[in-house]
Amino acid sequence: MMRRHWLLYATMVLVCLPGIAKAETGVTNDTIKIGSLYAVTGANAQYGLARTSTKMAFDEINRKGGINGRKVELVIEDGACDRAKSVAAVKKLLHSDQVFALFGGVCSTAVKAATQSTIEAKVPWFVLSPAAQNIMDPFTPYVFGARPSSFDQTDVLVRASKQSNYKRIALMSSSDDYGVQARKGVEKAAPQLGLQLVAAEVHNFGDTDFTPQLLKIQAANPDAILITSYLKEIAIILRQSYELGLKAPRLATASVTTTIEKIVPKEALDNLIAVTPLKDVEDGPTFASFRQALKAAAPDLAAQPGMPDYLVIMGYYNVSIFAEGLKRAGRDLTREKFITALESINNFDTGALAGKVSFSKTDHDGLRSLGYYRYTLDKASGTLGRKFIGTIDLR
Amino acid sequence: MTLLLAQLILSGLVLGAIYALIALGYVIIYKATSVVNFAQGEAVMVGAYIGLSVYSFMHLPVPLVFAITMAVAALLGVIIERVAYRRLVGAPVISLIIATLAVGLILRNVVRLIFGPNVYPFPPLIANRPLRFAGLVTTPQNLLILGVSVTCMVLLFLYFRLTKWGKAMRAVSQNGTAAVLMGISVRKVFSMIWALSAALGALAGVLLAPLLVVNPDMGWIALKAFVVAILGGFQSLPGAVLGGFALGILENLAGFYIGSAVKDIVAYVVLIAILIARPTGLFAERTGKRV
Repeated sequence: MMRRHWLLYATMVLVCLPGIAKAETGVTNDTIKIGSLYAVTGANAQYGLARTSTKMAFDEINRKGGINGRKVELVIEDGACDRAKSVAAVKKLLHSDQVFALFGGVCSTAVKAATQSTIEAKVPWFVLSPAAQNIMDPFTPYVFGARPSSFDQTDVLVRASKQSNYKRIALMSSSDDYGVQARKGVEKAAPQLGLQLVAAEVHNFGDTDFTPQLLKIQAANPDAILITSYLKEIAIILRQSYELGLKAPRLATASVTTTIEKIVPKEALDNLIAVTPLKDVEDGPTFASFRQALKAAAPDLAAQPGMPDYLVIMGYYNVSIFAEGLKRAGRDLTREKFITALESINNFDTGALAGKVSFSKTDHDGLRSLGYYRYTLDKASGTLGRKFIGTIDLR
Repeated sequence: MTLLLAQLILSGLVLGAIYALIALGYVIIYKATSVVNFAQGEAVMVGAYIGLSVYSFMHLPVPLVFAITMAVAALLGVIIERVAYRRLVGAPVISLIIATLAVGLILRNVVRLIFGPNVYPFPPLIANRPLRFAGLVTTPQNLLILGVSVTCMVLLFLYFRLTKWGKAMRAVSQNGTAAVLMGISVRKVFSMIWALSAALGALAGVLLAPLLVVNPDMGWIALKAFVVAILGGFQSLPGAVLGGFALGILENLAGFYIGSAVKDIVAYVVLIAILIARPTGLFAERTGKRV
């Protein structure tokens, strides 16, 4: 009798053991815990507003029954767009909250610093906005993204300059990682397309007066001025270049969001070309249903000036790529399987991004297409309009 | 080349005027209480938000915007002095300085709670078409900043020289005990000083807001004004004004002639050089004691 009991216990242990051994951190029978890094406070907290649309997307998934029978539990931590705070927030997500994977992250310099912890812990992170090239390069199996880097963005700006027949270009960039990568992008792309970089000026984050840089650019007499910086700085650069009488058209990276229309005089926005990771302008017909859904789910956010901007839109639609990876990884979910599943995604259409998303075992930079649009001021009526021009695929 | 230099100086004067206004707020408080008010940047930020509320949301005329903003900020200054600082009179100065840091953080986060983290546009206070004269470019907005700042500075000097309360403030700054013995209410004077300092910061905030965007962290600019106050000797009102203009111009000249990447570095290297040569700042009052 005793012997029979021992056999029963041994069989039970053998049956249960693989299940226990395979139980992945952050995964239970009916939940998957996902960490999310966004700026909730700090000078750049507007870049963290996408956390609302990310939550909205996961809530929708949960309402529809979750993924492979599990609901997603989202834990949002505040990185304040600050390196030290972001590193601390991600460490908390990894070690205290014990999340399965991460989704989100916007400010490149802070995200880059925080990825060191996730890479060491071998935890996959789908970065919402890996704008600095050095987040995806050098390659690591644990970081994914579907937003062209500032390197790619400036490549598109240079190509758009070429298409517009601007031969002598000037560059104004920020002095941090984001700006440095952008400058490398211009320096690489310009000679290849037969364009001459006649002036390259930098500014520090938080500068309020750009007169010296703009006067130097004016002295170089460029056909066009490329600007790679942050929203607040770009706003001042555009206003001051208008005030100083710089006539050259301006081309700016995707830091330009719809908010700029509220903070820069209309005249200063006339003839501005800006790039976007989306396939339409935010107030275009493509996003009509999203705008409605956002109004219902987050009326306060939807009512803010310039909302939704492209980051809020991406915060929602890019969850579909992440969810597709979780779905493909199957019920027996592990981080390794999730990474392999994401790498199997090929030509995935989010319905929002400027191109289709593809990953591979050696490339986690999922989107290499960008759209671009132009602001035009109708001088007779005084109305400022935005027209989507098209997309450029860099693959 | 001369024209270029003149353009750089002109642009530097505008930002310099704002530095000077904020620095005056530091100096007034320091002279009377020996406290470095680390919430001065938040006075700038709160001023911008008050201005935004009355100008952008209530559409009041510009002179009223200035008056209401300064009045509300002054009242806030008095309330904060009553609630947070008055009870600390007699405590070590460092406690008061830490209290100002705490008040600054509270103000910033209260504003963030009310208005959210998003940036708000501040419409131009005056038509903002570029003005050109003698080859130089500026805007009516910039001239307004210069005009209002300089007028305010002149009024402040007259206030200290000619009015009873101004003289009382100077008396308290020179010798608090003697002022009390002369029948001056030091408590009232302290309230007035905090009110005046908050009003100056708020005025700088309204003037600055159309040049930037309004957000809870815009008060960081006060850090540069702090440097200006040190440059001017921290006890001298003319020193703060001249220091403000000097830093504004110096930043622009360094940015153009040496390099935009080292703009801030050069300005602060010059500051340190001046402090090494004159540790008490350029316009410090003599504080030596006869023995």
